[in-house]
Amino acid sequence: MNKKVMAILVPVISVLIALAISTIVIILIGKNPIDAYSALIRGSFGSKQAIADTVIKTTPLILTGLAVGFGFRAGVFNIGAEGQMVMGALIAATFASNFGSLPPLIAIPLTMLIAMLVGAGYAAIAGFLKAKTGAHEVVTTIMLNSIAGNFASYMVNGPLKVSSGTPKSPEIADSAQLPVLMKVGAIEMSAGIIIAIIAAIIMYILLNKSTAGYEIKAVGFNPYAAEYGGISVSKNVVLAMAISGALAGLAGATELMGVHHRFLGELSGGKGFDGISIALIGQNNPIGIIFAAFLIGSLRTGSNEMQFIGVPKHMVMIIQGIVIFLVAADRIVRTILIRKRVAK
Amino acid sequence: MKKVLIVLLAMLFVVSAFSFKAIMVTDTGGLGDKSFNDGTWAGIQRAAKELGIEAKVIQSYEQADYISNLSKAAEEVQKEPDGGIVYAVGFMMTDALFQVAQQYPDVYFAGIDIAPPTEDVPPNVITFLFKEQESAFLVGYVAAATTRVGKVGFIGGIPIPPVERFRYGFETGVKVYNDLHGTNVEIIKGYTNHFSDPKKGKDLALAQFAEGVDIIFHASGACGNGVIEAAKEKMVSLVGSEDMAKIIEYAYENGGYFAMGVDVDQDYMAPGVVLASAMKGVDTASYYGVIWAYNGEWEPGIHTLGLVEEGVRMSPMKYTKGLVSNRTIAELEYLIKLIKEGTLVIPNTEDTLKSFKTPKIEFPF
Amino acid sequence: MYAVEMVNIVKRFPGVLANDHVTLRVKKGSIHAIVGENGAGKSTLMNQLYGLYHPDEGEIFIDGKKVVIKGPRDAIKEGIGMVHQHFMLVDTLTVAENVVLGSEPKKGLNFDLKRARKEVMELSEKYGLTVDVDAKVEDISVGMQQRVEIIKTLYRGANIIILDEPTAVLTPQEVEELFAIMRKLKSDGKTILFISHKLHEVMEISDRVTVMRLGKVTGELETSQTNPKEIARYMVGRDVVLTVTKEFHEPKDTVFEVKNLVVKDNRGLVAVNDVSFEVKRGEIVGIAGVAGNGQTELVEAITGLRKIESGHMYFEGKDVTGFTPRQLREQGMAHIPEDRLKHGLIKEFEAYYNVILGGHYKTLFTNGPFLNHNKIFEYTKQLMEEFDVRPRRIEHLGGNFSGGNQQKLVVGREINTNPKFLVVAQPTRGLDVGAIEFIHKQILKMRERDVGILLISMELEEIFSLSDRILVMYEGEIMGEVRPEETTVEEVGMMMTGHRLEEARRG
Repeated sequence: MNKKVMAILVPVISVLIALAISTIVIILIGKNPIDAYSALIRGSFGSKQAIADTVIKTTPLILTGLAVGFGFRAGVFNIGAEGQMVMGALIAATFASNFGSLPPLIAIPLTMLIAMLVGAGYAAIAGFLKAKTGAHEVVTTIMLNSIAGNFASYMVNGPLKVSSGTPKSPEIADSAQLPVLMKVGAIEMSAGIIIAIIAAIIMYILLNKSTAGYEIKAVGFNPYAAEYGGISVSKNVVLAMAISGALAGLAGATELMGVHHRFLGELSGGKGFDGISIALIGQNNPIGIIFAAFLIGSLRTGSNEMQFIGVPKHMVMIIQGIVIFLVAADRIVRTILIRKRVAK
Repeated sequence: MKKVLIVLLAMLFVVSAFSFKAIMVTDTGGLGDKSFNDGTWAGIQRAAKELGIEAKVIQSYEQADYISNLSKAAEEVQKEPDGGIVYAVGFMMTDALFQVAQQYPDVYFAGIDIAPPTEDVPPNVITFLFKEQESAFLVGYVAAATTRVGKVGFIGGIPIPPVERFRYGFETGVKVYNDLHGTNVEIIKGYTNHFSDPKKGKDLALAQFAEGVDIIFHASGACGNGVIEAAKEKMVSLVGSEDMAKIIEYAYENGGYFAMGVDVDQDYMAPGVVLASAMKGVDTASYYGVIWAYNGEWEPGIHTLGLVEEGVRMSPMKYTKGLVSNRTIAELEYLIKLIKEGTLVIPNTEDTLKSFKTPKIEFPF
Repeated sequence: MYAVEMVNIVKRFPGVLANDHVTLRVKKGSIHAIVGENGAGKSTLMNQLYGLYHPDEGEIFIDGKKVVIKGPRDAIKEGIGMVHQHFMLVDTLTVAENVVLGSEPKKGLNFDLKRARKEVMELSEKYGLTVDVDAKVEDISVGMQQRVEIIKTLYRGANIIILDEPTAVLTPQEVEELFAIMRKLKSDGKTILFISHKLHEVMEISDRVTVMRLGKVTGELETSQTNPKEIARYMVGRDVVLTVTKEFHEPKDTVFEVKNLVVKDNRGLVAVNDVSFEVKRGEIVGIAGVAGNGQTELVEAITGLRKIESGHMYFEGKDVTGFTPRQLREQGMAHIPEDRLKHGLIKEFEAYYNVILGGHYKTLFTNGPFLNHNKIFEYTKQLMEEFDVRPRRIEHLGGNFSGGNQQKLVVGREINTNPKFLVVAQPTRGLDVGAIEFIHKQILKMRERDVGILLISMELEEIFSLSDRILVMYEGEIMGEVRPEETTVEEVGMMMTGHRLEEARRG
């Protein structure tokens, strides 16, 4: 079977299997699966508000998915997207609250750039440690996550703190906020989704069309051959981590500039970690990652609606978990597919 | 008995004619935290059962869910002919609550642990605050009276105002004990910067025990489960048994390691090891909110509940009373009386804590 | 009496007729070789005997009795054992544990390690299969791992043993040890099926030879009545030049030189010790030696893949010590690596990405910061045509080519860079006769074009037939330099085992 068809078929079938298993679970807890799934769909697409919600949730997931996926392509496992996202958003928020005098045309790209640079720099620390000392990036990025989380918490409860209420930084200047595409009640859907999709396209071009992408992939697939071919492994590891971190930083920027308009203590909300699952489901392909993020985003929004009919939010985590398990163990699915073909 | 029956029947009658809904939106801690969210939910359920109305809960996955979940809940409530009430639970939902409440003026909103960010509160919103410092004062006093090493610990979650008020009260309790008894009990403080990660609570607790404290009071949501676990582990390894009677016997003779619970009575989570809990009547608050909205006895604005309003109290120390002297218990009773009278005011800000001077207190015994 | 009879076996794969009415008869107690080029269908045939595939047509008889083999379990029951090219051992278990894995002796419900050790030791002694029963597999040599595999088959009661290209991974000494073991097994009445494409090995060890080509049996020969040339003809369907005839070619000035080179291995031990030599334009310098005597480290140091501790390298007189692989390539160095799957190829890359590796950033293939795919595709098509890489699909993945075609891709890529100096390591390892001939021709062509060539090979035959000068390495040092026409295999063999040239000459 064609490799490309497989790449699409494996995640799709995984999702179907996951839904089948969850159906059984829903029946077991005594609910009607048709009601549950129609609630799920209603919750994620049933109204303008639902669609806006889904898009808002999908946006940062695309970007963290791209961050982790890009790292995978270069053979590095960036678990630190969470920390890079936090640092990017935090520092960008600090600057952007003073951008009142700048026009949006400058303030918006500048704020994004700051978040990306901070994310890139923060991730490059782990890349540099790996290249120079061999310290595994999984360990270092986890530690950097901790540092980022605690630092951010300190900042919003200390130096950056404004008024009472939720710990938060001052609001960023109006000119640094992303334009709103759609407003439903208290929910504002910003142009962040466009940025995320553009980022995916750029990453696709970088990986598949550019010389730099060729080198990064070579290092990811076979560092020995890459080195033999005159490609510096350490340079590309640092570069790949930096690009990955920049994408995570951009995820922080869209949350900051499009959703919260200020830094909140829980801004990242585990989306950096979600990026790992999304990269897996999207098979590290930028376009696949968009769909994977959309899948998880709509499941999450839909799950809130499902809670109304008494299906716990954990059901969606079960679905997500099974999908990831099956995609990660794609050999199982592949075997099932191939068996079937042989049987015919 | 007959009376009660008649009232219940009357209620049933009313119920069938009245369609009202209560929906609670949790913070990211979610149900199962054994303190805050569970407590609020219990209160709502109690009210719903008495009134015969429907109650639902939506759990939030992340902070970005607050606005959309509160909106969803409001939409759902609007569908009911007689409306309903939406609960926002937790200080972290402050901003989201006021943003959403403005959009749905015909829906009642109630916030637990939420202080309005501005002076004017919309007429459809009530918020409940607690004088955490008063119950924390009591456990602080107990801690100072019980420690055998002269050193006690405090572990907070994220240093948000309600957590800080627990700390002010705890510090004041220790200070008052020191002043009245001429002791010099010290306090070590730390924060987990989290409300839902027991691992962090446990790590920090073990670190504080290693620094030499023997009692830790926590105000850290679900992180506290880890604090209690840490104390239990240390204690069990000292005693060599998990048996409660043995633990208490050992503690009576030699002291040991203790935790102090928060929000609800957490003494049962490790009998004998949790010395006392600084309780906060989130269930009482959530219960009354529903009743008021249902009966139309709505008084918008902030409701601050303290010892007088029975919004806060100390746990009855079901397992550990024997570890505290009768004199201390009597002293506590007297201090509660002073607080209720307003003679003893427990600080609720950093500034008032700094300037707090122990008033002249003479126990009548 | 035949131990194995496979009659009119037909096996089809989608688009391929892998075995076309193949008949194989193996006498009991003999060593029977099956030779053929890669893809001739040898392994397919053996896999059907071992039950991994099922024949579409044809019958199998073991000891004259018709059998149907549904899987390895059935094969084992019939007394058939197979040692695969890639060993199926668990690295973290000991030798004894590996041998008994799957059919462990029990004491009650417990694994009886003592009995397992005893049984393994008995087998080991009986056939001269020296192994360390208590060592973990990850710590023992490849040769010993192979002996463990053989013991495994014996432990399961095999009388018919299939050895699939067993010598591909072995050093010359280990090959000799293996042959001794095979002879002992034979004298004990075991039947051995030996798959190989190294003709001299076949000549040395086998009693009979079956030659396969394109899925068919093309020859069935008594070893004592044939010669390598005849076998080769059956294999490739035409006459093959087995010994390379090279024209005299006058070497020019020095292109590459190393002086007092010292290099350490991965464990930090000195692997190359004070080595100096030079390579002239139009000259092939061969480095002979038993594997693991510093050749790998030497090549890696020369090509910029390994740090040089001390000493110097000069390229056309310029000091290039410490240059990166890319800098060395820019000077005009090319490198055909010893392990094509580790260094030479990226298995996940398409052919067209593999053939630009090393030159991917040059304007030939790029368009500003982007790759120029049209040019790359065109270039790949030409290269595959010129070096006869099959299948001729530029989007075929590197890992999906056969070994010979992978090597052709690598050789083509390196030769096409127009190097002045070419480092060639183990260029024909694991290749069949046809591919070997092709590669040797290419190397000689480079020599005629005045390229300086450093050839490192474990195959003495290759070193002798290609080199103008031979350097012999032993434990990181050069034992001496000889010209092939002035020396003998024995003399070089002496040096390979640690005698300096003078000692070797003295005898």
